[in-house]
Amino acid sequence: MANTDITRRTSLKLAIASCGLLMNPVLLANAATDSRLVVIVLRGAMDGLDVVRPVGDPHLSTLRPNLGNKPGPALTDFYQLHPLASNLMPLWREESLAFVHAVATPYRDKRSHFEGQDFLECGLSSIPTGVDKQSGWLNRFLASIPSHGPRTGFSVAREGEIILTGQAPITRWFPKTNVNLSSQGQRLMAQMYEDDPLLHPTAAQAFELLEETKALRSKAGKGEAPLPGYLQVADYLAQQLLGDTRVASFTINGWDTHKNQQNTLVRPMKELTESLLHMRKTLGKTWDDTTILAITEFGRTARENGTGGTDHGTGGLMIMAGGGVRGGKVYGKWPGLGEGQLYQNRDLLPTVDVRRYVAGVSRGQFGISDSQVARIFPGVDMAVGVEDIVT
Amino acid sequence: MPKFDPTIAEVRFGTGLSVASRPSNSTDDMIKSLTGPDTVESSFPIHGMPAVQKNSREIRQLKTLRQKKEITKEELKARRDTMRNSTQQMRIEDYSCNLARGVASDCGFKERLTWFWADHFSVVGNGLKPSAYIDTAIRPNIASSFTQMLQAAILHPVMILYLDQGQSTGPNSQAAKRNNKRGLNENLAREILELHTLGVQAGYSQQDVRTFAKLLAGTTLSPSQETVFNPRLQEPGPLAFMGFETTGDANREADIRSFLAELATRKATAEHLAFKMAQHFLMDDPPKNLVRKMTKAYLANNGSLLALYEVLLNYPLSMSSTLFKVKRPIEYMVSALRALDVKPEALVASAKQNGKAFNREMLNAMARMGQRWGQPSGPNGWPKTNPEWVSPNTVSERLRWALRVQTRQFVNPLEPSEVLANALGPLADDGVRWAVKAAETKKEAIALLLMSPAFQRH
Repeated sequence: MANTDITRRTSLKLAIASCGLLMNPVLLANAATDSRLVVIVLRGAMDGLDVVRPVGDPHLSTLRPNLGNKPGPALTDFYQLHPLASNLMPLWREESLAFVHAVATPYRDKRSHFEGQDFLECGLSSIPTGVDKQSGWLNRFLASIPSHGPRTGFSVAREGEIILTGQAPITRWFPKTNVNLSSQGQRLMAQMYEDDPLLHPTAAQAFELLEETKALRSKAGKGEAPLPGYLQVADYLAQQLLGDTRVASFTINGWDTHKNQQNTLVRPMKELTESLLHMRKTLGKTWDDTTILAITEFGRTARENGTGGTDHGTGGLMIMAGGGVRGGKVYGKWPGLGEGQLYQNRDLLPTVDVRRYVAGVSRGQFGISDSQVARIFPGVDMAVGVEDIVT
Repeated sequence: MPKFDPTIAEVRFGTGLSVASRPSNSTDDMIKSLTGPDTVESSFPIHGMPAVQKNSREIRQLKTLRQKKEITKEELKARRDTMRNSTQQMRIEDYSCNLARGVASDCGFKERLTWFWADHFSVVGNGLKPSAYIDTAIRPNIASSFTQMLQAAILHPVMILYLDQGQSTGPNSQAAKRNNKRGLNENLAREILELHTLGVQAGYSQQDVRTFAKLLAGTTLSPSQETVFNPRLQEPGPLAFMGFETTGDANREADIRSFLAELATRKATAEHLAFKMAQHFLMDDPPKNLVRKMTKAYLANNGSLLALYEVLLNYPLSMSSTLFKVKRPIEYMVSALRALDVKPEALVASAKQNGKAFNREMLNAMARMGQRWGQPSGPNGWPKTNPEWVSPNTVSERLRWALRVQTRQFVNPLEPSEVLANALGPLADDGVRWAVKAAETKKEAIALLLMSPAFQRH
């Protein structure tokens, strides 16, 4: 943790400055309930150094002689986008895509996916154990939004992901379940469950969601080719965002690229970039009220390894998209990749706690107060930040 | 002492009612059957550790052949693909045997205990490893002492592999002196204290975890995937922590076993296990009084598991006809197969004949209900409480399976009223009886009764 302390002061200033710029000022004036926040959890640790390549850093090509063989489009004089993400360039140009480099949760040194994701989802400053894991930061965020209904928080997942788990009620549904029970059967089941406080509401919700999913599917089928499986989640989520949903999450797996990274990145990159583009298309005007954050448990080693991949690292990348984002920028403080600049002589040095940026987004877009931020991200104090932004 | 109820015992502690099995008539019967011969194990054998070791040997051989350039890259890939396919088929057969044991058993308690302890000592693994591990480390020890089970599970190659113990190297060991990149891995030490023995609330420190990891260093795998002790990885010198002291560098293996034995019989461990077991079999929030009694019996009998079970079975609420726990997917499926009077042999035959279909209809269905067999989300195993198993998706998937399973070739057509009697016997209430009568088709009637509140619980 020592390194975080050393850079704390500088990072604080920077975070404050950046957080002020992250959000479009127009949105600050909008009604808080019109805003949408979507968090995509990129499980497996995305290689931020490959997705947004700091080609302006003279050490990159020494550390990674092979990984950057195929160049991608330039984002700035310093950064280049991975070629597999070049389909996102229209978003970059319309300034609804931004990145934050060299960020991390407070998790250090053990580099375990399991613990790293717990950190990422719980939003705490120390390792979550036991009951900590029953409360994800996005659920605490949801609880800070006034007057929410059952669909305000929506987790598009089969399993209870920690990030949106907690005391605030949410809906969790994965739109790939399909059951054929007659309406008579459904009525009988509801009757049978009448006195069952656990099964009754769950089954009622299930039938409602099944019905909706079926209707969406048949609507989508008309005149168009059916969506590939990997876009069904994003599509379903976009439909929810057009309805009552304001806070949502889903997962994209497959980022653990220890071997042959150029190939292993193909699938998750396709899934991520096309999901973003599909949401852009489907959301229409609602895109302007939407902020999408894609976060990952940690970055990967600065050096490529002996098997054409990278190993578990520390500092990483956050991706932000949506009309709510002041895009066309790579935020963050670049720590450098040279001698003595790496974390433990191996990883990108995290210069800012990723939670500060997320807090900045929530504050900017939803008007979350500093005391609420302190509940969402214990240990992250934004009070100083407000003063600086104002001045 | 409460009156023993064979129906309740079979439902709550077993794998569900079955016309084909002979239920126990007393607590003593149940306890005795745990120590008797294991008939279902041999009737439905899984591939086990020899197959796991054979696989890893073959992979090593292929790699050597490739290194010597005796086979091409393409040949290597083709042969590995063939191996992978046959392993996948064997895994599906193993899974069918696990189901078949639960379906066939006269002593469902034994199966339930095996699942319970396998969950307590969770491993996540692909291929044949999880089943092989359970059959060698867990199943033979469910009626022994916890010490014995703890040692068997922790020192099992699959556990060593899963919790990264194999590479863990004492910081002052010979191996670390040669290569300063090597060091301790605390994973196994931490999980033993947190999950397997004392529990996370017990007062141990990060320093204790680290010293325990030093004690374990040297416990590793041989190239043939057997657990061995390699003194080159061992941390030299005396280690003292948590009231334990090592007895000299030459005795490290024995010291590891003694420390595990000591952990097994500590009060915090007893309380942790008693709570977990009562929560698993009885209710999410089990009576404190029961947990206290179980803890006491466990400690008084030197960590005897049978003593623990006996208190649980004899507790008055254990014979209550109110069912508190929602069945886990595997428990639900096995009890449903019993209610449908499925022949366990037919189940296994179906998996052998068409593994892919069996995988789709059974293994994948169970995963969608929230239990991906052999692959819980982490070393903490499956969710423990009712609300975690009941969501719109998982309830839909339970229903979907209840409808579809009836069309499988291993299910013979039955009248809904028969299935109702098989499934619930005297536990069928008016609600489910009405639903079965009023359903439009036999298929829906059967699915509804399998979805009834009473059948979803035990």
